[in-house]
Amino acid sequence: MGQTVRFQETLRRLAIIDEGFVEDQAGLGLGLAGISALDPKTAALLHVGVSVALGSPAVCLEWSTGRALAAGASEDEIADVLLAIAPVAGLGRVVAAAPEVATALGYDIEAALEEPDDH
Amino acid sequence: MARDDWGRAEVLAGQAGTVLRRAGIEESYATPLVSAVRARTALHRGDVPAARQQLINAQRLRHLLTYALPYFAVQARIELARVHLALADLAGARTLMREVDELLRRRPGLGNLAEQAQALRARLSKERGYSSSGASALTAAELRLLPLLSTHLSFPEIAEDMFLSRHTIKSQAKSIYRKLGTSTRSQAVTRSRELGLLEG
Repeated sequence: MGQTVRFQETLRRLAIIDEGFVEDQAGLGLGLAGISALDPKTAALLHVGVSVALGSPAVCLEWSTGRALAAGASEDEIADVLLAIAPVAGLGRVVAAAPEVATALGYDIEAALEEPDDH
Repeated sequence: MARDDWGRAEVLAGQAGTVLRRAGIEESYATPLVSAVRARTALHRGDVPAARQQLINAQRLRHLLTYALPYFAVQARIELARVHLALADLAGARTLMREVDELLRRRPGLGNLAEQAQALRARLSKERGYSSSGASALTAAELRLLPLLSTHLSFPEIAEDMFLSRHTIKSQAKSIYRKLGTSTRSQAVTRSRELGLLEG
């Protein structure tokens, strides 16, 4: 039972990207402040761009977008990352990521497309 | 506070709190602004725990302050963001600033408040630091969802109630779990109660 609970807890925490858990248990340094030549915001925007380019799952896109916001990036800057990487990452990757990035920005594209106005 | 008369500000905030309590509307849209003033005055006299408690009080009810009440909504968030900034909680301050920006997009004609927001935005943009997102970085949308997590409603039912897609609710719930350092719905509810974000 203990083992079952442990593996379930591990998978749940991975599935939501629990930063403390991932850093402690998977040994991944997720800090943004330790990159000397890049400020945290730039580093966080790069994380968003790479996540999109790699075709990362929705939770990774939402997580990296949330971190970029926390590092001081604006919604416009984050959306522009998608435009900037489109020529090298491919339109498909960018289009696939757009709804997930939007969700992390508090913009429900699915609901917005049903609305009669453009909010 | 703008006149540097902190004693007077504290007295007025106390009176406002009494009025709300006597009227039985402590749990109303007016509370976050009163709590924000109390947090700032507490911080000014060096009482950090009291300031943090007031931030929680404000956070619990902040979702009531929408663009339907633009002056209250923007002013409360500006004052709260100042407290978060003073406490070196950049993630909390930036979350509030984004909400201010969204409110000003919908309600641009707020006079002096727009200037105050601009000054705060400029100050925040100079901050290069990063603090990981904890409970203080819960957005208004996530705070609105929080009480529903303590009910029996499923995510699709919550989505229907809130006129949002199921995907958005699921994503907001994951974000809440992450910010609270939890991994299940019941843990998130328990943690929210411990923090004072939900009634026990």
